[in-house]
Amino acid sequence: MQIPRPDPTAISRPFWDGLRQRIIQVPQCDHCDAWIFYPRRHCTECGSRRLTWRRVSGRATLHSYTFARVATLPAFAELPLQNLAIVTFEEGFNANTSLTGMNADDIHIGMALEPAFDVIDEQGTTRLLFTVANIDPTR
Amino acid sequence: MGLRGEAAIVGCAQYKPEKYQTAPQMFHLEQAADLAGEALLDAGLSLGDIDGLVINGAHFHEASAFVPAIVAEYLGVKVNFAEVVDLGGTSAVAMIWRAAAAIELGLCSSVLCVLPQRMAPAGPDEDLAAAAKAMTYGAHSTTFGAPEAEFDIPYGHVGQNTGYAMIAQQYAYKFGYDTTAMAKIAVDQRYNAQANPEALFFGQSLTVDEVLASKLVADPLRILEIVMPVAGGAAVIVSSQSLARSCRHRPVLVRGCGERLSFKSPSYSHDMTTTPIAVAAKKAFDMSGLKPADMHMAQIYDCYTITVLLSLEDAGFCEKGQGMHFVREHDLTWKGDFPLNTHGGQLSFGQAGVAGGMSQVIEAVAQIRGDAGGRQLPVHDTAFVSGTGGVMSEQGVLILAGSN
Ligand SMILES: [Zn+2]
Repeated sequence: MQIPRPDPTAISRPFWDGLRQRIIQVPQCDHCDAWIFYPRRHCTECGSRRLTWRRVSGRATLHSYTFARVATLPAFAELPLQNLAIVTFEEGFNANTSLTGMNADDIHIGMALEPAFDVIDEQGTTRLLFTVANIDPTR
Repeated sequence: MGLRGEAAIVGCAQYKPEKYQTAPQMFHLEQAADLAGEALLDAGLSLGDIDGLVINGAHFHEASAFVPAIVAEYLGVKVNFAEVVDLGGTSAVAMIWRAAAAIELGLCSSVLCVLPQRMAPAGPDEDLAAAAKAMTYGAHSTTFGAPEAEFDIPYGHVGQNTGYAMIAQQYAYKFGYDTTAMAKIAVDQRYNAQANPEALFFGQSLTVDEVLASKLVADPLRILEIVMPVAGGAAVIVSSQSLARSCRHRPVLVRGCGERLSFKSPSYSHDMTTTPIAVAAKKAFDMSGLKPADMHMAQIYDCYTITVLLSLEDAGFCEKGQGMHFVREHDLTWKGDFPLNTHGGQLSFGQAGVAGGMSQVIEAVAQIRGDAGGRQLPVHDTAFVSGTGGVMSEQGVLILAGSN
């Protein structure tokens, strides 16, 4: 079954367009520098409506995760073991996602992750998944 | 500031929780009328005494807008206060304090709070496939422009189980995790259900080993740590103190309340192991002039065992990170030193949708009145009651106390 497709809005489109080009861009507040994820047109920290889309690396750490032993939607029932994850970007904001290309035993909270761009349809719609970082995050 | 404790719960009614397949199907309007009638009988009031109405707006079967008007007209009441509450599992708690506040403001003298949650009969042209699809996504919005539709659902973040599981995983990372202590929450509550013939799991005892051997749903949560949704419904009448004195039972005063809504998805919380109830409980205790140690019982919203654990900590019954120790050290049954969810909790009583939270309110009322039958607490004047909606998204607290 087809994975539910995210439908970009006028507000979020730069994020999804970026993923198609394998870049991650997120709005940042011009006034207080807060990163706004998911994308909005105002700053959720200071209320400013002056935001600028900026590119981020996608380096992140695993904040929490679980394995859905009962698939959350039929589209995910084909996976050997569906996982769900919350990641914290190095800029400090969190996102809901899923991990790919990893063994269940290798997943642990606090681990370093890097983005994995996942094309889900023939139109090139791309999800932002994560996988284990193959570079030392301390460097 | 806050409530003065001058409004009281005077009447209650609740359908016995039943599996959807075998429960009667009734229109929500008819359930509202039926439950109101039972609650009025319990109070010793008549329909004409009702001059306030609070009802659930989300998923009300016969209307999606103008719900209070349709319900008031159907009941045959004219009200000075009409309110829809849409706070998921904390709707019941939220309804009670709104009713109490409206009464203390002098707007009205008796408020009906009602939550019909049996299924309604399907119409001849009803699209059952669309209804089933809506059930699949649960509390997640699939509407274009809904952040969840864009940033949760494509990654499989749907429903409640996995959200609560990720909170539990983060808790385990920070503070450690004792699966036996978590199972004990469900087991002690099941013990309570054995003294409650109305409970879904009355007559079915439960051991820690059985919980730990039950099916893993979303690590670390097992099926016996998760509520079973059932058909049901509940109504509660809140009245002014002067009217309450002429009612049939001991008035149960609403002494304190608090509410906190922080987010929809806990992923966007700065600290997902510190829950909104921390703010709500402090407000409620301060308002009541009472403290956690003054409570004779705790009726804590229990969609999952982890909800109970975090509520115990954040409401101030124990230190942060000490919840598992607290559970191990205390007997949580109605016979014990910390009576918790004396009706069995929703884990053993059953969760009738958003009416599930009213089971905790109604159990507190039954205990405070001294009407709790075989599970009656010997000391039963004060109660802490909580509600939790979404994924620890919105929480509410009531401090209830029996009138002298
Ligand atoms: Zn800002």
